[in-house]
Amino acid sequence: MRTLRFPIEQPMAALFAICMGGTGVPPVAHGQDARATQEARAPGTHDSGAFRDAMDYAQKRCARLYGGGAGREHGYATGLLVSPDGLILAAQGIYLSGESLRVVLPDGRRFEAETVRRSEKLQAVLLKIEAKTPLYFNLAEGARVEQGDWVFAISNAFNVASVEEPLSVSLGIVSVRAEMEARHRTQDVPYEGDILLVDAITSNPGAPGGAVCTLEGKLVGMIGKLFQSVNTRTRINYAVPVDMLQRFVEGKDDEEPPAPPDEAPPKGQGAYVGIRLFKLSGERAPAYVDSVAPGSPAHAAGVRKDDLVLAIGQDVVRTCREYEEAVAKLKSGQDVPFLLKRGMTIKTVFLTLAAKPEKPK
Amino acid sequence: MRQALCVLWLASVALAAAPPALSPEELARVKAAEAARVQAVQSVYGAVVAIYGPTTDRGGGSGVLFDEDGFALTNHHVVRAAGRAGKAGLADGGLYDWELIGTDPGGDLAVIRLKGKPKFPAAPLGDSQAVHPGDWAMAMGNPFVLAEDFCPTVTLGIVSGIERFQPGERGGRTLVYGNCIQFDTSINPGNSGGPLFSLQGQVIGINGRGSFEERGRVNVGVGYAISIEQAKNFLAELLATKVCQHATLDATFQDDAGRVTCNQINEDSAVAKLGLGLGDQLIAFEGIRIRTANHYLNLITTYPAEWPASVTFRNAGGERTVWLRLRALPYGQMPQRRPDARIPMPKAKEKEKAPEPKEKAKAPPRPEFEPGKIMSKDLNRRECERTLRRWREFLRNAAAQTAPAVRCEETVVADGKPVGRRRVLRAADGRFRVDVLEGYGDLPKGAAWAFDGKSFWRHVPGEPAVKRDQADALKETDVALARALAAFAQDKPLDAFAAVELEGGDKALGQRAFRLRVEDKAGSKLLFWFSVLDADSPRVRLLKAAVDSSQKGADGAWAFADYRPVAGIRIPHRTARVVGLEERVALEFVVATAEAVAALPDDAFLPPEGAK
Repeated sequence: MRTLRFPIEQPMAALFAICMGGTGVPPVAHGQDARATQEARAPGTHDSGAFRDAMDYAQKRCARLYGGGAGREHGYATGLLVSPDGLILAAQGIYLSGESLRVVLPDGRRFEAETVRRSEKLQAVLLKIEAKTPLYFNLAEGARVEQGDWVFAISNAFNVASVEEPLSVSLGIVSVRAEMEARHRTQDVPYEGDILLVDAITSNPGAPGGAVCTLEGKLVGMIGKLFQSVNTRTRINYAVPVDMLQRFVEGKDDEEPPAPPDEAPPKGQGAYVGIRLFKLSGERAPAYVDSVAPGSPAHAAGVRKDDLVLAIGQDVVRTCREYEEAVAKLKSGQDVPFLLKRGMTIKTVFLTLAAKPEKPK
Repeated sequence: MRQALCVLWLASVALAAAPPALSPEELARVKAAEAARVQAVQSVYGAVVAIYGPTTDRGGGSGVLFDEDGFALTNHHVVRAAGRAGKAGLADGGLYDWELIGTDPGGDLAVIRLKGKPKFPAAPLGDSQAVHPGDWAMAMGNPFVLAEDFCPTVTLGIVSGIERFQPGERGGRTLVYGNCIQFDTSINPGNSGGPLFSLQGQVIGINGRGSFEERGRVNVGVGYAISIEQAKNFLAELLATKVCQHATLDATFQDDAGRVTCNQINEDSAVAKLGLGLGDQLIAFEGIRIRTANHYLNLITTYPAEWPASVTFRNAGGERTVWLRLRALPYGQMPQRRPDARIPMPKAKEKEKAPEPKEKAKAPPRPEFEPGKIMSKDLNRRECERTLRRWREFLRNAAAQTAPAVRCEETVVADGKPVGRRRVLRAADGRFRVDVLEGYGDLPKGAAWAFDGKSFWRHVPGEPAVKRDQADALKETDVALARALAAFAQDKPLDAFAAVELEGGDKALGQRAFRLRVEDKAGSKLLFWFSVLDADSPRVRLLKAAVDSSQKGADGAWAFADYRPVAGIRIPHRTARVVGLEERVALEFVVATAEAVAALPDDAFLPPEGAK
């Protein structure tokens, strides 16, 4: 595991491998010409396709997951082997809610998986099987990539590959590392952190949990849960970067300061409320509270999950949008009455607004 | 805004940490690689076809020319939508008429023929068995029917998976993609029937299907191509103008603790009579070791009905290999509606529709396809002519003049050991004479037989002489064969026969073959197997010949191999008598010396004195 078989280290060399792969350079058997041909091909490459070795490497470290399906949500996905003792990283999804979760390893062995923990931020899940998995991705040795670097994706997209067949591979480049506001069907998804946007199409059923690797086979990230961009409403082809995955697997992501739950950055002084709304069907939905950040002004004032915000100060709040408009006018240090409907009762609570905390890097 | 900033920030980082520039030598190699790719595209660009129905305004599909005579492969679902004839556009800007030759509803393949040009560009057919995940894969075709000048669209991606199985439309037996190639190359509606190329410009598959889902029928990076190996298996069937049928073993298999075992079998089937039973382990099919039940299903999907297959299985009696002709898998009700998974022919853009809305162009009637049937006797006969022309081209080896006769001395071999010798004189007009120089089998030294153009005689010392005149002579098998082979070498071979038909595809000497059935004017019925067009050579070789019977050669045939030129004509230097579907060699004749005979003496074909 310490050393990869793929001696290509420089991005340029990798690009070079791509360009040279399968150009029909005829195999030459003897002497000077043979050496020249050898040099003309990047190491570890074959006649056609410069990345077979890297793909084989990654294939041996990806598992198929089968769980429960519901309606349009498919009951299958992909997972990454990330430790020698059966830890598997995967994306969250409906398939996890089945009665059991079956894992098929690349060598054909089958196991039932237990959930170790989930990450809401990454929409990821850490699973465990009772098996030795000597072939795994070492997250500490993941690759950092830059815009334009070639990557390939390996996944169980569409569950095309039957159990004994290798998973599907596709090729692309890293488009950008950026933040994302995401939604799935009609619901916003609380993904927090960067994504690696790729131009290989990864947003297919069954693909989440798959590997995105460099052409040397080093892990770049994991294909995340199927999302749409809030802005364009198109599916996003992306990977959760390996450094974020590593923090999650090592249990370190909790050490970070909590991100502010408010979605819209407040204008003006930027008052901090600490309420995240439940946006079931977009901005016209009534402003139900989905979560209250611990230690926030809303928490101190006793706002609870499932409260419906009816008014803030003098402003009537009919929709999520109106809530955000009202919050945007608030200033830190203010005492503001929030009119809430809780169950069948209406009550007013007073929030002492704080300054908006620094967004963690 | 934040995202935009992020992009800019990343861009500046990328600039700051720019990788080392390419050395001039590296740059030259990168450029050479790019030039090679462009060259590969150029070399096949003209062979990609934009296929339309009777008019170009009602959508379309794609295809690829594989034969200079205008033959192109496409999808069954393309011709099912387009009809039996239509228009086809090529990158030269020309719009040509095409007609349907043959179609395979089960494997979603069809062959059409373009007309209107003496010689079409053709793309070489590659070897899809050498395809590996990660290989580059180029698709060409006419996505969204967007090319108004018929120039194909080129897209590049990689092979995502091989040996994939995609079930038929609505779970049926039509449009099944077995052992197919999965790729992430972009294909869209209109690409159907177009070629998937290797980076060297060889056809490795016929694109026709994708996994789509809820986002509509546009590329999501999961396309499928029928492997070109499957297309080659069906090529002779398609060129025979058949509505192809796929094969079944009359048994199904399951994965059973690491073994593949029979879980259903038709007790009346050939394979059951040969000893396969429930629970028996399948070891190999057509010489390929079977890994899983799905692997077997993948393989059998790619063979036509009547294919002579070998099956190896193991049961209490040990391991056995049996040979049998696979039966046709019935289609059942053939679906007429468009399936969901295939790539439909996209509707033409609004502006391209006929200007007069009252005279709406009628959709072509959907062709009815009767499975197993030869659709056109006329086109089938033309294919026979073509096959024999190519055989003639191979035989003569571009020689302007050929000798009137060739004399060979042959060693007779049985069980790998020489057992006798004989001399054979063959004239170009079908006359022949065989003299046994060293006895073998029942034939003593001095035995001889011949056909002198009118009569056939056989002389075996110590036996009464045999002589047949006129019509009776022509019915002798040796004579019928010699005369047929002589006729094949003539310029208008079909005139010599009462009937000639390309029966379809078959296997001979382990190779894919055209099987021709001829009936000569004396009433003899013979079968001839010719090799299917090679990718690198449009020539065909005669592989095998036999008297026609229900066994189709399994009851005994002559095999021909090791062709070498002798005085401007290619002579098989190994001829063998083969028996059974496994083509077990009973007796072999190996040419030791061969010479052209410039002038035939008058008595060359006369029986020896006293043999009356």
